[in-house]
Amino acid sequence: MGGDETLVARARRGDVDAFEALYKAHAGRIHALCLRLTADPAHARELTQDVFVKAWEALPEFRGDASMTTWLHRIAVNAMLMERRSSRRRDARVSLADDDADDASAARQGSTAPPDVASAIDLERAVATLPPGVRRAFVLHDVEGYSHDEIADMTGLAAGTIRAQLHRARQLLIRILSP
Amino acid sequence: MTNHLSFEQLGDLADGALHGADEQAARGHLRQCADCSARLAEIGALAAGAAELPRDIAPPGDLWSDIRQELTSRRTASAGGVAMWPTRHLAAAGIVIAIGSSALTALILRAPPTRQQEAAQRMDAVALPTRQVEQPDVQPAPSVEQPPVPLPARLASAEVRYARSAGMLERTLAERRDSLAPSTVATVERSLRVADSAIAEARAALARDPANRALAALFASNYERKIDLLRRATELAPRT
Repeated sequence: MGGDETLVARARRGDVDAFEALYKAHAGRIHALCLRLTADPAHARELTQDVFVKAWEALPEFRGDASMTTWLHRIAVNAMLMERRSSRRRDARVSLADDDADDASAARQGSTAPPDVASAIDLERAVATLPPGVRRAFVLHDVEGYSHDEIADMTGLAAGTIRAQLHRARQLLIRILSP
Repeated sequence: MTNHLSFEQLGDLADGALHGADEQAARGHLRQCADCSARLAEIGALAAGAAELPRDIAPPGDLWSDIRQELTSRRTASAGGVAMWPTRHLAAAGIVIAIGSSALTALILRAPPTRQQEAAQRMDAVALPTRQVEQPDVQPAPSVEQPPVPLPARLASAEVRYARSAGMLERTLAERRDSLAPSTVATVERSLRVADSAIAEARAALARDPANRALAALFASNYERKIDLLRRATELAPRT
């Protein structure tokens, strides 16, 4: 995006108005991602704010070889991952298999969910019930269109892990959305 | 009929991630198996539905003003920060930090956590590692920067702020360490290790007994001592 380059250059020099223009251009995409990653509007707001504050600080490192959106997505995913790691450290009871426990919860919620697969609202609701790890894989792959390898690069996880998480997400969603 | 395709095989097929003989075998099976074909169609419909979800969802209208405020405060802290100040201003900075530290002590000992503090703590906890990457030579013990044992949110929030204050002074000190005599550097580093060790000890005790106000006071006091030590050491080092 040519306009971004000029704005980035100005923002790097400390021009907050230029950064505001970048924010306006990308906030919708980033907030949508944050909403889907967190499944919580209040948390999504915090994460969106965090993404743009981090982006402001990291602008000197932005080389423009990736699109601004991809770069911001990466920041969001990393911030989310760090939050999860931090919250795992805080709560020693959370095991590595917490997604498994959440699977059952997601499937139970699915039993009362409306069955219309075609409805975007139903799909959004169903995605929100997924465990965080598999939800991230589904959102980044099926909603945002990143490849397994790109998501692996973004998250630091193996591509095989991403594929497995994606399969689990789809299985759960089909179960949730089925009559 | 051969065995049904697994959900993973169907998913890989839908994603174009099945190749060669595996893909041919799967497609051969699909031609004969209505069940697997139906499951593949379900996966395709789900992926198509996901791809059609809105890519843009407007954030709350007042979010930018919060971000702008945060950027402004950070810019003030870094561009006009301790590292840029003349030496004669460092004493004043130390006073500011000391006042902040006292306020943090009060926070630790009295204030219940608010939702905003919880949120700030979460954000600060996320932001700190970026700063750590920039940390130069004079470093506190890793156990203080990346605590192994979780503290309650109220204490963790205060700790993040202490660490931030200490980090500012550490960066300044690291920039100026060449102007200090080696023996002074060694003394400062040894004292910092002692301070970090005391913080880590109080921290560990506090993690086991978070309601203990005496431990909370000790924890805060140890951090304040470290900050005071850093401030004094920074004052010893003229700006290069």
